[in-house]
Amino acid sequence: MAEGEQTSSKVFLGGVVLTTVVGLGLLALIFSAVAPKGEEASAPAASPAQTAPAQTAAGTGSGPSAAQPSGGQASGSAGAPEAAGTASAGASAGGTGANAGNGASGTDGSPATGTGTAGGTSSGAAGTASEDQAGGTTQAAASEEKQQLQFTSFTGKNGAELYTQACQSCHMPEGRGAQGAGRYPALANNPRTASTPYVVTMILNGNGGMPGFGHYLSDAQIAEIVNYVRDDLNKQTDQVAPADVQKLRPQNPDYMIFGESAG
Amino acid sequence: MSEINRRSFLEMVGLVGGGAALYQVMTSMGMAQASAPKPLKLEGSGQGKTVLILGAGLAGMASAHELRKAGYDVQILEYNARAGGRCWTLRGGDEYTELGGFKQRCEFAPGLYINPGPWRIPYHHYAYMNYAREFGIKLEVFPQVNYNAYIHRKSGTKVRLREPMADMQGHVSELLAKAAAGGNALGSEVSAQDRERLLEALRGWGFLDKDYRYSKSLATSAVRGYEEDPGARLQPGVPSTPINLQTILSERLWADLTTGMLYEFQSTIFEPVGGMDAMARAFESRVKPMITYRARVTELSQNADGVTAVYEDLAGGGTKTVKADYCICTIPLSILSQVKLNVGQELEQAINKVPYAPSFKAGVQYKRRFWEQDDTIFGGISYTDLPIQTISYPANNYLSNGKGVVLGAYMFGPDAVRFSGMDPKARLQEVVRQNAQIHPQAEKEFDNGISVGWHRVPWTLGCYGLYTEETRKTDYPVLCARHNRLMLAGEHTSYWNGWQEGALLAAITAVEEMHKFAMQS
Repeated sequence: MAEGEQTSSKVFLGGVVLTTVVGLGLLALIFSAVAPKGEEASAPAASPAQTAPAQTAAGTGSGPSAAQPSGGQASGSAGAPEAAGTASAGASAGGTGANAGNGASGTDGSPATGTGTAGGTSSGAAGTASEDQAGGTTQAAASEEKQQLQFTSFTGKNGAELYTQACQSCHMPEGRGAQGAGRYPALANNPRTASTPYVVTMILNGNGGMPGFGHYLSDAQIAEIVNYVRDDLNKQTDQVAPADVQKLRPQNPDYMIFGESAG
Repeated sequence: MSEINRRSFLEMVGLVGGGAALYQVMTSMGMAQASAPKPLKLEGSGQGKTVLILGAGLAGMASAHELRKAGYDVQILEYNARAGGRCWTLRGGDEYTELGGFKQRCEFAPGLYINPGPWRIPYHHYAYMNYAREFGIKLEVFPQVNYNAYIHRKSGTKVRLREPMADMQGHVSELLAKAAAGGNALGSEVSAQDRERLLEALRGWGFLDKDYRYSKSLATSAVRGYEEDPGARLQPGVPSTPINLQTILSERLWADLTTGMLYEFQSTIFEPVGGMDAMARAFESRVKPMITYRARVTELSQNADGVTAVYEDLAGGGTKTVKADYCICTIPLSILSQVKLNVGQELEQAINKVPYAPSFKAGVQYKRRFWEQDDTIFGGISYTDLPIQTISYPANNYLSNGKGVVLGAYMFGPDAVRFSGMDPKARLQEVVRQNAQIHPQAEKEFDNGISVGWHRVPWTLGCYGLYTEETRKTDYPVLCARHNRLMLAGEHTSYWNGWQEGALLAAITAVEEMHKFAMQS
């Protein structure tokens, strides 16, 4: 695990395109956060637009110049039809009704769900967002990172390696799955993998207890994993391209940020 | 209400109405008099009514304990052969088999342990503290902030926490003092009178000299530590050299200074003596006759008359059915979302919307306590930007000549996912290798270890419930509500996610609400 050391950095590597999009969103967010402050004090029933605690912990040592696996796709660019398609693909293939995952439904109208502009929080402690809608003491800090996709944690060079790093903790080596009080479905010889959008959507948005990886895996990485799962574990030879993944990213992503702290 | 808004609002009230008005408003906002919630006391008897509790973690056992006191007939179903859930301690001789069949045996010396789950109790976790008082659980201080622990960077930088702490404060104060002294830089933000006060404050708070400079001196060394400590006779101490601002910023040394400032980690913060499971054992000794162990719940339904659960008896075999008037279900949502449910569509959908956080811990036994003997670190936490994130030192048996167990890794996020997916032996090797980058003694002194990746834990499939802003608004209230004869309880129905306090508060409120409902019907 020589590469282990390189993967923990939580610096912002979002890319120029993303920075621009986020920047515009932030302007709107800051504006909406500043304006109603006076009212907020006297009327605690805050509107959703007031979630920004005006955190501006400017990151240093971060830069958009470092390597990024798939060239910084702005996640906000996918069209509404694709987002809708995502949800229905997940629902019909999975047969699990409304649980296509967080943000897959595209019903969240607010473009900026994150709060503040924390420049990466290596300890997760820099955020002291005192009014975080996700709330929970362990999630306040994490939501500050929301607007900055982090494609640097998983370093595998191909689908098999990426599967080992991102998927194996639950779905087990060779996609065997596991059974305890609950179960992790086997991915090997799994007929549901016949639907490409189903597999992509699962990885992007998660399902049930599974967190989505849309925040942490690039389109290219997801394509690699999907091709590994479908081809190597299920003998389905048609390939998925990063562009196919990009189309399935939700229009207004509310990607799950993994927790950063607990008791 | 954010802290800034709250403060400016109070300033406004203070200006207009004076101190009395301010105090009145603060009291009504629940700020001036924070008082500990009292232990639960239920009025009326639940005699003749049955409650089924699913899960014998802290939420389940606290619910059972309170309901039994009120006269209810309680039964608990628990998947594991032990009670406690995530309130869990691993000691020498314990075996742990994770999903995938990977089995580990803990080889720690007698008296040594790790808590794979929660391990800290803030003083303001009143529900926990009340039970600790009631059960006589002994607490010891958890040294959350150790000024002599390391902040380490994979670049090779390794400093004591007190150094960047003093230096960051000093450099920032010096800069701000320059701006304040310059007059116009701060513009109308600070009045002329306040400018003088600000300069005085910066000098004191930032350890500046009479010229408002933060520099190498015995005065700054009195904060950041000395090159050579003061001693007897003619030894006043040798001053140390501050880390320059550029290094603090480029290495992000400031980022690990704020953890201990957070309310949830502030002093005094505790741990139970001898292991976190002291609370689990205390509850279990009170509710044990009610627990059916090795029961895997497969179905849960309710109708107008009551609740029905079906479970697989993992000990004796076969499928069994339990009926009760009411149910408090503490099964983690990651598991519950896989149980066949007929409890109301809205609730069933919400149960499916909460993913679980990745987390990874490794306990490593070293042959001697080199962090104390060589590094003068007694308890507390060192921080690194390596995947292990932290090394935490034992907060007991200081100066012991025997072996010691450190928490060699406590990981969240993608790295926790990655490490959880590794073979236990490979994980441990990597953890020790990374420990050795901070403590070179680690490779030589390594004895044994055990690791827990929370997504591999068979009975939780993850560490704790994760919400987005959206699901906190839409699904969370549904999960928190009583659904006829059923209520959910656990850290996932609290704002203290991943803390035992969340589980206990959720249990207490579930019991209150269910009791109220039972008394009405």
